[in-house]
Amino acid sequence: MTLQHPRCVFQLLKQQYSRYTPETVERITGIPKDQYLKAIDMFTSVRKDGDMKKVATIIYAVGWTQHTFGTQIIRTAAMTQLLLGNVGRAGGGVNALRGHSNIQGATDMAGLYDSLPGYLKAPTPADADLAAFLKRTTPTASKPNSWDSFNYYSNTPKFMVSLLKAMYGPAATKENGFAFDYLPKVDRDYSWTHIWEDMLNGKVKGMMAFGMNGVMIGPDTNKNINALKKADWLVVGEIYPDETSEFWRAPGISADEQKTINTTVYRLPCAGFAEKDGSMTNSARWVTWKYAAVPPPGQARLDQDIIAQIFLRVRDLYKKEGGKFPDPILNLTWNYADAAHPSLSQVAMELNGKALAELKDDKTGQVIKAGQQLPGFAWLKDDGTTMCGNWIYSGMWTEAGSQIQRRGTDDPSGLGIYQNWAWSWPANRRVLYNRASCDPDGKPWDPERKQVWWNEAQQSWVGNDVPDFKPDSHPKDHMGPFIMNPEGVGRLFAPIGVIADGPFPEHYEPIESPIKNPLHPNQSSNPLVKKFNSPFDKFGTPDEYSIVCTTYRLTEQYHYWTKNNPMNVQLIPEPFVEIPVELAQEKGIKGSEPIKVISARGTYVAKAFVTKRLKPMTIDGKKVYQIGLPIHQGFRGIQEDAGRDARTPANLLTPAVVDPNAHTPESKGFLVKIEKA
Amino acid sequence: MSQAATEIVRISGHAGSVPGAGIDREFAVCKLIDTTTCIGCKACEVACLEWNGYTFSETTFNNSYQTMPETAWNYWNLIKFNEHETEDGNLMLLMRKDQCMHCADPGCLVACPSDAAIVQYANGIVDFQEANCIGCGYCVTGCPFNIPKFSPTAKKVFKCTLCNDRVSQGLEPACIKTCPTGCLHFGTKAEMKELAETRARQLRDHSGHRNAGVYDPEGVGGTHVIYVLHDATNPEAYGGLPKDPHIPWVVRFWKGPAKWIGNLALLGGLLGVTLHYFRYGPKEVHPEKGDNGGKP
Amino acid sequence: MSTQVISRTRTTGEPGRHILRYTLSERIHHWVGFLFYAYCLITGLAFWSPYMFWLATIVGGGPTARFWHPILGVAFAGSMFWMYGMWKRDMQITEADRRWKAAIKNYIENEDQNLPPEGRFNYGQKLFFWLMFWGVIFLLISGIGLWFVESIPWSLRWLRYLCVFLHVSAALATIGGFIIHVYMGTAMVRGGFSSIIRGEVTADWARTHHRLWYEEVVKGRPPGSTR
Repeated sequence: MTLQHPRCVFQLLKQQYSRYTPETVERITGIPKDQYLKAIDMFTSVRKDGDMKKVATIIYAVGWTQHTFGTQIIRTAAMTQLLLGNVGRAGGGVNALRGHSNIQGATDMAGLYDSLPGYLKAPTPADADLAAFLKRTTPTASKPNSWDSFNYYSNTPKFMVSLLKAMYGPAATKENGFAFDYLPKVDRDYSWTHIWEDMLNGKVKGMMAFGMNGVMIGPDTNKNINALKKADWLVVGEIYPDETSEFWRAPGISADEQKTINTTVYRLPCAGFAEKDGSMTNSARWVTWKYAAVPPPGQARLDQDIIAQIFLRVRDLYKKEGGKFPDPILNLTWNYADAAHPSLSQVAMELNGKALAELKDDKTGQVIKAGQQLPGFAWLKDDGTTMCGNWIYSGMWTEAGSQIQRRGTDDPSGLGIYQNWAWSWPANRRVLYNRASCDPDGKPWDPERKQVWWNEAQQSWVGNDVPDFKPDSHPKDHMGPFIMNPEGVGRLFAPIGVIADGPFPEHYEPIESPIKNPLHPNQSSNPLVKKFNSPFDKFGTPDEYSIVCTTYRLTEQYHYWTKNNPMNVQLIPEPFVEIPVELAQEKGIKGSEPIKVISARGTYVAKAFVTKRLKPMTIDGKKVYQIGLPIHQGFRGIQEDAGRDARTPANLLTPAVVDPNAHTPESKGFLVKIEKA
Repeated sequence: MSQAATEIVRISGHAGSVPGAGIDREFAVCKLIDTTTCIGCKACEVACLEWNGYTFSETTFNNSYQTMPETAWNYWNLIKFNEHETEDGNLMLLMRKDQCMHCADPGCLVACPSDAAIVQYANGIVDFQEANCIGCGYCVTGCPFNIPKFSPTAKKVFKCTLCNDRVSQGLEPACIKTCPTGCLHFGTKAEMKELAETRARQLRDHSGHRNAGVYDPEGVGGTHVIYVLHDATNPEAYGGLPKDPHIPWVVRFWKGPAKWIGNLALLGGLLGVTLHYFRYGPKEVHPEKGDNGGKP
Repeated sequence: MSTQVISRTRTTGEPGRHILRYTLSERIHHWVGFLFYAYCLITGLAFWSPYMFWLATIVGGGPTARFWHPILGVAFAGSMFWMYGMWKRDMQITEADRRWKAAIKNYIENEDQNLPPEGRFNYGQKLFFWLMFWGVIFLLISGIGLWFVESIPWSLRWLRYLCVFLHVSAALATIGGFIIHVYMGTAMVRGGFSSIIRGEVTADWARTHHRLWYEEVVKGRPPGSTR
């Protein structure tokens, strides 16, 4: 490979980013050129003089994702790491820090509307049957030159059929396409902001919110409250009375107006995190079992008990009264020992999958009897002889028992792999694409810190970690390490359909920005961003709203519920707005003085925190102030109920515009003005 | 105060010898606080309250991330925040966990007049025995770190025990147990000192903190709580950590020479008047001459 | 002060031979002050030295002693200020005092016949009064500092140390004066102790120790006019 062809990815990449000179970066970001160069010099110094031993990591949180161009940022980070050879290496990669202990688990288990468990794609109306669906979603290997590809997603039919067998059991037969038709088909965008827009427009009639304070957490609180006013019913499962279940008495809603709100609210007391068992999956994909510390108090119930109750009663209704299409409900597998109180360990075993007929590995002669737990997803079949609720979780609860309850603290390699602590998907691999920790000959880049390597004698990949590679693929065969991509290589260039945006990341300004994008002023923000047209979707311009505002969380509080815990409340007793000293002087605002933060959508009232931490920036030649405010306080909580703060949620200010790929709202950059309250 | 049974080497307000004085059977314990890896989450503050059974405090926002201006009788552990501008114009948000330093030469114990209200264990922990505390507040004056705090309701003084009740059972202090970043360490003084020096060296060699160092002030004989600071030449920037703490000389004088000077003066006074009486006796009343001819 | 010759018969049965030296009010105030001072002295000594901490036990134990010490300290200050109002005119240093002071050696050695005459209070008594007066002011101010030590901001902690120094120094000074006062009033000057209890002295006593005052009393001059 010469990388010289003018249309090769490398040359296109160079061309794309030649526009991002340090001067341009300074103009866009306000980071002084010398500091920017210092930072990138430091980061890239790991490859100084071609040294391949050192590794650098990128760790990020929602400060990067909550933009209408969040995916562009994350892809840029991933590409940087690919170019630097920091992927597949212990201590490398791009690592997301999450706001919850189980965000990873939520997306693994199809918490996103457009996926099925294990990141299988959700069917669309165009998928006429299983075959059509599998044809669309199973990639075929592309084999450029000598670079072979494992293309592990060629196994998609096995994962999908096993999932359908897990969901519909005997009702899923080869003849009926394994009950593929039972699955709902996703015909359009059902992401967060669309739910509220649809509710506002009367299309969504009801909502079940479990452990999720919808009024507070989404952008444009006012819109969400007004949407709930239109709903027929709302079910909230929570451990505290929250803003969502009490949206009807948000500040500004008069007693008279309250009488006109006809939404029926059902508030179900739920168990808190310490009152229930189950698994959590962290950002490093470790699936860890936790045990209940105390039983739920009073009438509080476990989530799965509530869901089971609802399901069993709905199923009874279908049994009794029939319906348009009762089959998916009537045939849903519900094989828990106690149907009304499903054990989560049984759910975990279901996710792991089991053999439905005797299976035999032709190479090793290993036999798995019908009914036995599967050792891993390599055993999955597309003929209906296996079932598995989530292929990536296959291996977590085997015949040998629960792997996710393991607590081994041994770490023989010293790399922090902790192979016997809990279990990580896939197949207990701790670092994905760890083939890339070796040179093309299969020797570790850093012999001091060996992850995996090619063992010539065994003709196999072995290591301190589980090799993420075809175990018997000899290095001389040049199989690409990125086995989940049909190309076998990392994606610097995103093919059509993989993401909504273009093949290379590009900088866009937020929807509300103090400047026009210096790179292309006529297309300042992401062209794929959809703005809604409701009366609540208003946007400010820099001539009226000149201050950049961002929101964030604090270590002292956890989202919107520790405001009910005195121990947390004493640490951060009141909401505040961090404002630069210079801005405070300009406006005559003193520390701890109440101020109003006003966006085109709402007004937030809190005390000023005059700080040196935020400095004025020079962006595209303009002096720009940034302010920041934590999101934790609302209109229910210890201080709120005592009338010790203004009871204004932070998301009154934020716009309901989202990243077109991840549907993440733009909470980290929008325009406001401030004045004394 | 804890009920733990550990060897006592020093006793406050004590007339006489101390049984454990000079023993060297236990390891000196030490808490290491690496301010360079503290994120100011204040989990230690809550852990301290929870373990020691205190309820929450009413606080108000005071233009800072700091929970309250200083530690309180029922709030022994406080992260102190400071927006510190460095010489090169950069800003550092310095965060330091403030609590009892467990001095080898404790000013509180020296100042305390009440027998066994403050004891020092062989492992270095300086512990208040509230049953014996009379609430005079002398320890407040004696402490160079502003740690002991008087409870107006209990009429006694309280402070961090270094979780002596946990330590004596082989556990680490509650703050250490809860710290999510691992900026808190617990072990023997020797181990912690070595770890701290290693970290300081690392900061000097690799992070550009040329003045990084360990805070283990000699003025109070060293402490059983030590810090790693980015800039050990300016501890004051870390929420007023004294640069060269020592027991105030007034307290030293008061509890040292003044005691003997005073006691000798008192004895001298008593002795003086007694001797005066022996030598001169009482004054006589002189009757007026001629007024009372019948008397001599 | 209503100092006067008592004409009625007292213990000796001799008319006109006794003089009222202290009124009932003066005596009560003296002894109330004494009680407050004694409590502070006993508890203060307990706090002062581990070897005297046992003294706290006889006044209710350490915490009780600590509780009452500052309160009775303030009471003593009040009592002292009352005495100031009562005696300040009698306590002014006069020309007679200066002459007496110059001959103080005679007083110490009981050569009183060589001493110049003194008024109602001699120079030494006045000195003690002013020592207690100023001592109490310092004790009160520094004592409040010790009492509410946490109210002194950490940034002004030198004040805390100053309070300790002042309190200790003032206390020691008053104790010194107190020892001499008690010695003089009981052992050395016979009749003094009974005078502060019963209020009376003999005319001889008055003439011997406070001749100028005696003469005034005899002449019926108003008190305090010795200046």
